[in-house]
Amino acid sequence: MQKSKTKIIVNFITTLLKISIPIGVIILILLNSILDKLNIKQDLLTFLIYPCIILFLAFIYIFIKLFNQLKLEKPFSKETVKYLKNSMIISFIIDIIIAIALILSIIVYPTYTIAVKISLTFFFILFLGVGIALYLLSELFRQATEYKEENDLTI
Amino acid sequence: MAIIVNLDVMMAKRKISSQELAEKIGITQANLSILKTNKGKAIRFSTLNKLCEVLDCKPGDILDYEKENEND
Repeated sequence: MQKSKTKIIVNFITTLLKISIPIGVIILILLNSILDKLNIKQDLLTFLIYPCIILFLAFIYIFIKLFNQLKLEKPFSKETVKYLKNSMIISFIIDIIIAIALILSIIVYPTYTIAVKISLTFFFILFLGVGIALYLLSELFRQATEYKEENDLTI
Repeated sequence: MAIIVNLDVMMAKRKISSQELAEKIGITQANLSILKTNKGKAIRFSTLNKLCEVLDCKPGDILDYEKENEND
């Protein structure tokens, strides 16, 4: 009963993530015209949105792979640890880009509203937290994988 | 690992096949193969007990210790 519930939830989230990838690609392609329509002046700060979206798509792709591991019922494997570590690296790279954007918005483009600066600070803290949480998870899974391997190889 | 499992030597001495030994001690052939190829991380006393019982030997006949080379 619990297994089928988990499978339904995993399938639902995987489908959502799979749908969000093409949506993200479309947004990436149309970003230039979207910014034009919203009358947003394009500068270095808006240019930083592109790498952020690309990295976020990679982030989603890794999460699909992670959910596949759950579907295959082998969460404690070297692949899971690898995916968690990769997603942690992506999270920290996004965080660095947001930090650059935040510094630029304060020093180079002081005309940006305080709301932009606050939202950039929020996302900076958010991705820093996500990165730390993913690091913690990857280390926990690495140790759990080691214990499982030891248990499997105890005859 | 410095602990070496000399199971194949004892099996040859007792002229017993892997399949027969696995059946007698109640483990799968895959697990017996893990033991024979020194890939195992640990051995249960119950398994060791059964191995000694079936092969009519002492744990020392199956397990050996070789000091690991520090340069390795």
